[in-house]
Amino acid sequence: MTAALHSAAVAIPARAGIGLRHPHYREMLARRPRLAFLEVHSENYFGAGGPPHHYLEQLRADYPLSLHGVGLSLGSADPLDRVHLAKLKTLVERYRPELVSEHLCWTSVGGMHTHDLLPLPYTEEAVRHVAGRIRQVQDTLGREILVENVSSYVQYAASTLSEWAFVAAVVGEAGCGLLLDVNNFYVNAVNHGFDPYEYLAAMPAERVREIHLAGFDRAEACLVDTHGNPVADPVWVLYRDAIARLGPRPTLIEWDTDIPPLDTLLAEAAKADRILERHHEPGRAAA
Amino acid sequence: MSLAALQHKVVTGLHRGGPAPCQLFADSRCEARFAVYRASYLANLTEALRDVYPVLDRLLGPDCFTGAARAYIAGHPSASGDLHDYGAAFAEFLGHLGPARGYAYLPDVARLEWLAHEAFHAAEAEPLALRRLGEIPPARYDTLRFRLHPSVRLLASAYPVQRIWQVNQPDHAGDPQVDLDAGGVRLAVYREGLLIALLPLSPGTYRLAEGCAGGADFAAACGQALEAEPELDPGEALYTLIHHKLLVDMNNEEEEGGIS
Repeated sequence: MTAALHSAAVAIPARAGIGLRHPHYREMLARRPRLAFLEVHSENYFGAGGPPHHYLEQLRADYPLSLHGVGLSLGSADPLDRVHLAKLKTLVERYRPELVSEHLCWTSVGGMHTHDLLPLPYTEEAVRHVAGRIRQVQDTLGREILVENVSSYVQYAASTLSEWAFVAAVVGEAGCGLLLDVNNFYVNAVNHGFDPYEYLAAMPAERVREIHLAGFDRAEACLVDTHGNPVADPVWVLYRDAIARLGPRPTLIEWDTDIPPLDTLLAEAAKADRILERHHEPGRAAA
Repeated sequence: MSLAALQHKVVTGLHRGGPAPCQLFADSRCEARFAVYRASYLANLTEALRDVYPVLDRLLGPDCFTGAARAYIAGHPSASGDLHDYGAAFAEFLGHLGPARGYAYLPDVARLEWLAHEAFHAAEAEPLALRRLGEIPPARYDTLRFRLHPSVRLLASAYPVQRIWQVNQPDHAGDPQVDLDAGGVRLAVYREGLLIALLPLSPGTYRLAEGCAGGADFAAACGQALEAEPELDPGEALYTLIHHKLLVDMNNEEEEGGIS
């Protein structure tokens, strides 16, 4: 792999990658399977040293990297957490990742952190608020970030926009990229009773830099986005249609609870790759 | 309602429990759905504590640990977006927890595990090589300020916490018995390669390391060390710290920025 591929300006190939989690560190180093990229949770590398960096530095030398934050709380009514953002900036400068993403949600208020990806009310006020903060983050990091649509189990009475209109408005007003999580909007479509194809049609294709796929669980009251199962069949169908509409995009297999053997993740990634291959435009080089 | 007011109501509902703030939501099954968030909130913080305190989890058993964790969470909301920062006050909390009072060593086990957690994520640094010391004229030793490696933490306990920690490691194969009356221990907790290591130190060597951590020059640190252990050989104590790679470099007042 050339050094140039590791500069932040170079795009990740539109193929499948996996979320790198610590149970797989050693096996990944030993096998170095063919994957378009690795994604890690930024906060897992906020420490200065130790085993997390020991493994990531070695793997990063061989794979394009995406940093995916879970704790910046972009949608919070609190002032932006400058300490957290400074740690993210340090990490971005250390690894020079191809992609940096955060969630289009809030996780904290009044200095209390829930570590849960909570939905925002879909209002014009929330669009302006979160878009302004995304711009602040991009200014501080000196680069584009992606924001990811989140799953949700409740809808606010205060919402005046559809979720898809909200996501498109935020991305447009912030001038950021979109990490489209197909599982998340499928889960929301089931939970809230909307048509996922209406959602997909509203997504700004030119802003979609990455796609996430994961598995959900079925609880009594709703689908729950646990990242603890294989990608569900209807989500694969929706993904295939999303790729047909948006074009091929780097696609991540995410698995965070009951983490399975590495081969299970690689098989899911291969499944995404087969769909991506069918939609690669003729003459467009896929790495 | 402002965004801030809405978010405060949601967080209060998650943290305090009680009825869900259903006036905020348009869902007919609001109670059951808000309960999914509440369960996830508690599980995330509980499992973060279990990750940092695996020995306590074994000592208490998973159910009792979960109970202690829930009681801790109720009084200690997370104050950082990085979940690795959560749980620093668990030792102090256990010291005041009624059911844990008969087990006075538990807070010190918690202290040890938190320090191991800090050591695990601490910065890398080149350890001080013994030969560097040889390059300094002995007459100048008194003014040297030795510095601890960033991963080194110090813990003194009235209980045999090193033994408790060792017999509760997943790969421990020997005798699991601990004699709680075996006496206390002074430990350096640090990262050795990719693993956490515990090194028992003599009272004087421990005080010498504390002196280095506090920025004392070698003369002052040795003075404190000899108070703690009159028969200490300071040269031997210094050698112990260097041999185990607990020191990184030294600042000499005549040489700005250290010599390493």
